[in-house]
Amino acid sequence: MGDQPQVVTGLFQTWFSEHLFCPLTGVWFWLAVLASILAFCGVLAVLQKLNSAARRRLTVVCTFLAGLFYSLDFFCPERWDPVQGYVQPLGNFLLVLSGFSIGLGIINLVMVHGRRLARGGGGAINSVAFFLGFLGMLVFGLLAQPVEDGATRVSFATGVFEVLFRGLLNSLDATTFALLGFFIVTAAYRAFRIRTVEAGLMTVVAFLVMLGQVPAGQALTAWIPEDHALALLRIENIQNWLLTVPNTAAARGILFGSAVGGFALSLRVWLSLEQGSYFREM
Amino acid sequence: METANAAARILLPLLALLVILNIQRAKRGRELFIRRLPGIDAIEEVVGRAVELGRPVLFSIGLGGVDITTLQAVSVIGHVTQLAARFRTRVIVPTVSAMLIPVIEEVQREAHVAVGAEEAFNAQDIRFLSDAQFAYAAGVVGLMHREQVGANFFFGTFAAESLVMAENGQAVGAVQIAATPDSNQIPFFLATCDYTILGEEYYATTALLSREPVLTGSLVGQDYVKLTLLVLIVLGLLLTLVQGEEANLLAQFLKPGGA
Repeated sequence: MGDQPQVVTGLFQTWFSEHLFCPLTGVWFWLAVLASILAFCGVLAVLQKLNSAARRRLTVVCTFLAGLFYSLDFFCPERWDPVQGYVQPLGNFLLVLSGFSIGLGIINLVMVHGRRLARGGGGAINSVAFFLGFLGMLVFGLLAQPVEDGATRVSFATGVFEVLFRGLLNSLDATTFALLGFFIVTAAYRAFRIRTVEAGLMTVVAFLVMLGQVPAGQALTAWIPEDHALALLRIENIQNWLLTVPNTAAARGILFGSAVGGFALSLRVWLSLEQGSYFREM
Repeated sequence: METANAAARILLPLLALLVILNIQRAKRGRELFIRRLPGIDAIEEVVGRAVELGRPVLFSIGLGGVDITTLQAVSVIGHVTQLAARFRTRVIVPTVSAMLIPVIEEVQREAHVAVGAEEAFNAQDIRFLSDAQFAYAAGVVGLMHREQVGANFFFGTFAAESLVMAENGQAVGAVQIAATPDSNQIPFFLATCDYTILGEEYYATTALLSREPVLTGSLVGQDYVKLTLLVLIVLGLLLTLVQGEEANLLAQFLKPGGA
């Protein structure tokens, strides 16, 4: 226990934890909640009052500060890192924020399906299914109790939730995944039709790799002794070479390019150099 | 979070400087050459086909949340929406991340305003389907069949659901363009889509579509970054051959945690 790494406090973190982020109880707790709500409404009102140019400028400043925060944390040596102590609280804040965003998703779904239901017509039955599924999962999910191992009796709500979640949702999820098996066959059929030199080459390579994976294919060249100079021509060795040399080299080449591309894009986003792609430039 | 070693502290700012310098060069009006890519050239043609057929366009941004790969896809949505909105063609964007809805909404609204088609903007074309992988895939497939889409764009981070969506796109007769930096999904997209934009080409899409100096400059800057890294690789190889891996100073310098 004595060798635990020393936790570095962030800039002004001690002051913040003593004066602002300290646990509150009783009336003070409720006053703090009220103050937070008022502060939130105030910020929202100010944001609404801002014109779009000012809002964009604010976005640019926030993006830069957020990028700077993580850059400082990455580049500064641990003993001089001024923001290290804030990484965890900020991570928690982002987690809470992303939790709230599910509300946006629900609003979107309710609006899309509500309007379709109000309009009627052919697709309305799908919207009825959505509302039934959504409300059923919500109500029984809230009422359900955790099922303990070996339990023989569960409440009605728990039973319905288990049927909806494990019986229906999980099974449908697995079914969609299983469809991949069929889609791979149809996609392979289309890809292996020899129409160009490249398609022909791919078909030959794919055929060799598939042969190398199955015992029947390996049996074709099993007559070449493993220690013979021509052992390189054994089908499993050809397959292994194809997978580990040209295939890996190509995959690493793609990865290399992607990493550099991602690096440049991150830089453009951080410095708001690409804002024209998201909204009209200031 | 991981902390940078000495090599990262020196190399990353240097490489960033290379990109920024080239952006400045392009901004000053210097003509920079970037080659065209068939997949990106085809975007206009693919949208045009959906317009001719009178069918909507579907733009899937995959499973990514608010990250750099998805942000690139969102910026392409703006370009595709502009092309489609000129002819009052809808671009349906299903998403797994509810957080992205306001961002996509803003991008699509701006794209409609840019071509004078504000009245054609419909916020309900941006649809949150589910945050579960296969529920999302099933939702996208359902949309394809119900809306009889004329063109499909798959831009972003994808996993096993890529094949389910692209094969169904084939089934409804849509022209398809896929783009992903992830090498694992490229074979599936190659087999099922009409055009595939792969690896770093993905990050070059907006530069090639808009030809804005900032973006073309950044793209040329990326080439200098790659050249620098290539020189380091060759140097490292030569040093390893001469000095061996243990005594190789460059390898020691670049080693993770070697600070």
